[in-house]
Amino acid sequence: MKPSALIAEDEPLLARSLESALADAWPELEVVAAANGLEALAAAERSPPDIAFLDIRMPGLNGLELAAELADRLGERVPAIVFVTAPDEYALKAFDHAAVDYVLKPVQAARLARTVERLRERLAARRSGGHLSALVAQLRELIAADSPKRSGEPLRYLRAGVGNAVRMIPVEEVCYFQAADKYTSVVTRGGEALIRTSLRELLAQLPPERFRQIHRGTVVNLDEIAAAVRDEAGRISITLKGRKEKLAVSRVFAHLFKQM
Amino acid sequence: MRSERLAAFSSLPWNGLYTAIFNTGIAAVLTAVGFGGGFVVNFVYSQCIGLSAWLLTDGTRRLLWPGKIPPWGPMMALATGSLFFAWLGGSWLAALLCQTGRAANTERSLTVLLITAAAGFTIGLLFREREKVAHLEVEAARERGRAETVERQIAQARLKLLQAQIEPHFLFNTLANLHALIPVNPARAQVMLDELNDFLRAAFAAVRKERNTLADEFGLLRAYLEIIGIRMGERLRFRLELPESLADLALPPMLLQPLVENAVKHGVEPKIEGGEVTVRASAEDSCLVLTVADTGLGRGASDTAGTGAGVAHVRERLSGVYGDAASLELADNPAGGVTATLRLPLGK
Repeated sequence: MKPSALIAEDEPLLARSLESALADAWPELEVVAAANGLEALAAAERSPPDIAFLDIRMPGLNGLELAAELADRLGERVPAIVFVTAPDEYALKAFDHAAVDYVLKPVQAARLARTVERLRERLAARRSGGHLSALVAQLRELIAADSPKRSGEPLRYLRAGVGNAVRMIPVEEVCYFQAADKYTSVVTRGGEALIRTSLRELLAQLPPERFRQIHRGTVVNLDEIAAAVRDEAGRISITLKGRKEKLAVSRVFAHLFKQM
Repeated sequence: MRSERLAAFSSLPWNGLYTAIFNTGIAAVLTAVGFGGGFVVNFVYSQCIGLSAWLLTDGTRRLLWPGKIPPWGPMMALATGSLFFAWLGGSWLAALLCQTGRAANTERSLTVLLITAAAGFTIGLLFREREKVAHLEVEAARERGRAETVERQIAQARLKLLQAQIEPHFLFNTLANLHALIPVNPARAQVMLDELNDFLRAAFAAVRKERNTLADEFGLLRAYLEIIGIRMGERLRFRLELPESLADLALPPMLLQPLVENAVKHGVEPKIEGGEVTVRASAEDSCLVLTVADTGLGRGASDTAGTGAGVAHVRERLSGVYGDAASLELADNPAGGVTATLRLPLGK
């Protein structure tokens, strides 16, 4: 069977350029291109590729989030991931410890040839396993490097608009936060409220000993967790003390719920 | 504090040495004209009176006005008093040393007083002038230092401005796109390179200029948006509306660029289907109103929500140039996206 690759890149010229460079460097590779993170995720779920070239800055899902989603949804079938990045982006250092490769934009033929060589070796050794855990460990590092720096005093109250009034919600009463399109949903034992701050910004202001990110769109209050449950596919979800719903835990953050 | 006090006395020994030499000269002249009782006696007298006069005057004024040139009136009073006491004390000490008997001759004593006064004021004035020159030199050196600091600050501000306006990400991505474009569409690559050239030239000129016309400013924005347009393809649409009557109005250069950049970076770029950026100039009452509107994701919606550095930068520049007369407001559009509204006083 021919090896397959997915390119996720929102700038059409760069996508086309990478495609043609890959056609030169690895003629038998079958390439599918997606213009944003969500499109790429859908394509990968339809037919999981062997390799994914991911741009970091993309609308919908960024490259790191996409990689985490691929790890969650595809499990051991997760593709070998190569990040394609502008030289100023993220902590390039974090890429240095990479189990997978990264290439800088603009992609240069000689550099790409080396990446292709590495990828061929990796595909040949694919059965040896350990691939997914390496990716997850690396993503954890990259996501940590990418998270906004915390600034100032931790937040104590959330100000949520309800009609004409503003409700003051003490952070310790929050069970979890859920990213909801343009807003963040604040879920307490008693109900829900919407705030305008993005989950990412919020995370930088929350007391870190109490609140942890467990998924791309979920930050949970550790005090409110009743138990973490693993299903037969190895996916972890948590149950809460004061709420009925279960929350999914991304593989990237699963280490928070390992037995002691 | 202590070291300042000490510094105020640093030139004291030198002044003492000059005084002693001056005194010796006076003794020599007096001896030459046949005054007093020979060079040795004249020497002792002039040193006793002269050195005590100098010590009283110079010492006191350094205590009273450390590190400064004393005001004229009080200094004259101090000098007169010091000279009088120096004449009394110095004569007494010299008489004791020379065994000539105290106040042997009233007439001669008065002559000594006159000589003391003349010599004292002369050397006093000399010291004062010398010190003034030294002070001026110190002042000039300090002024030079200050000018250098200001120049350095200006250079730093320019650099900061340039960095604020030309994001590395923008440059790298534009170059990556050019690299991609050259083999497939060289003509379009050339157009993109020209736009980049225009943009960079304007950006570099802007950090040196105080004012730019609205027409230039819109030209710059067009170049910027064309470049982003080539990068983003159909996802970016833009409109620039500048009425002919406002084209020649002046404003601080590259004032709008960070707002347009925000509209792209936080509005249109992170939105999957893209959107439109509209930049519009209009005159309202006595205000020039500039708006940058986008149909993008809106504030607080995405991961890219910035630190507000762009907006803070624009506000800082506004208050630097216009004080409180200008304003920048951000508002959410009902249909999504953000509108930034800049109001500047017309005709300034």
